[in-house]
Amino acid sequence: MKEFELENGELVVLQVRKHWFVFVLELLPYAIAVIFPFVLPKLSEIIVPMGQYLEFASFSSPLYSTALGIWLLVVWTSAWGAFTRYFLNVWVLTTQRIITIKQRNFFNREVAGLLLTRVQDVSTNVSGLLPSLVGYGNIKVQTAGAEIHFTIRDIPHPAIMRDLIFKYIPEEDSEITGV
Amino acid sequence: MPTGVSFGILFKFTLYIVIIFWAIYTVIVIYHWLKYSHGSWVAYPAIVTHLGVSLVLILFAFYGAFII
Repeated sequence: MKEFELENGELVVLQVRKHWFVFVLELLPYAIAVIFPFVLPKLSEIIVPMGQYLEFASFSSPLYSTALGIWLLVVWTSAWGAFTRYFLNVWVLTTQRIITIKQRNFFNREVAGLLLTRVQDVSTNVSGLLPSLVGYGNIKVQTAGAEIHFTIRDIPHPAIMRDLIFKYIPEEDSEITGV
Repeated sequence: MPTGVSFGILFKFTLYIVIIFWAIYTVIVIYHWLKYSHGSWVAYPAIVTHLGVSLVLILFAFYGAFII
């Protein structure tokens, strides 16, 4: 890890990203955009006012091939950008800290850490049909004192992450939190 | 359409503009993969797949553009 230095004796326990299903849902608009130009020639046959574009909206038309190529290139590149942002957003649990790495946009990256000694409470929230079926949800980590809380969204099996956080909270704090 | 400008010329021009933007965007995203993926094995297949698929689509678009 180059973006944060591990302390002496600190080990990476778990590294998580959003659940893959959430990413697939984010890809839906791109999938619709890919299908659209293939449906367009059929639509121009069915819908009467579009009939004048029938000659253009045909796969045998060079003009349509160029337009299709441009369209698919734009959609593909955008989807690849979305995958990149998905992959570069990550949460890391170490034996001492929770580190969040947020790639909001390109050239807009945020790395923040929270010491486990400051953790007061950890709660999970799996809400809705799809999260319950597929198995993803949120974790809310609350700290003592400054009322800072830290939310990790849409990760797979949040209960496992919560248990691991509790496991690595140092003993003296465990007594305070009752863990 | 303005006099003397055909759809063919307009599409070719659009194709060149899109390719310039694609090249800039691709360089930026590859930079992010190489710098921030922490040496993950996913980085290189992701970059190669993007370049491969993009090349096919660019050739497809050019194929139409050269027939126009």
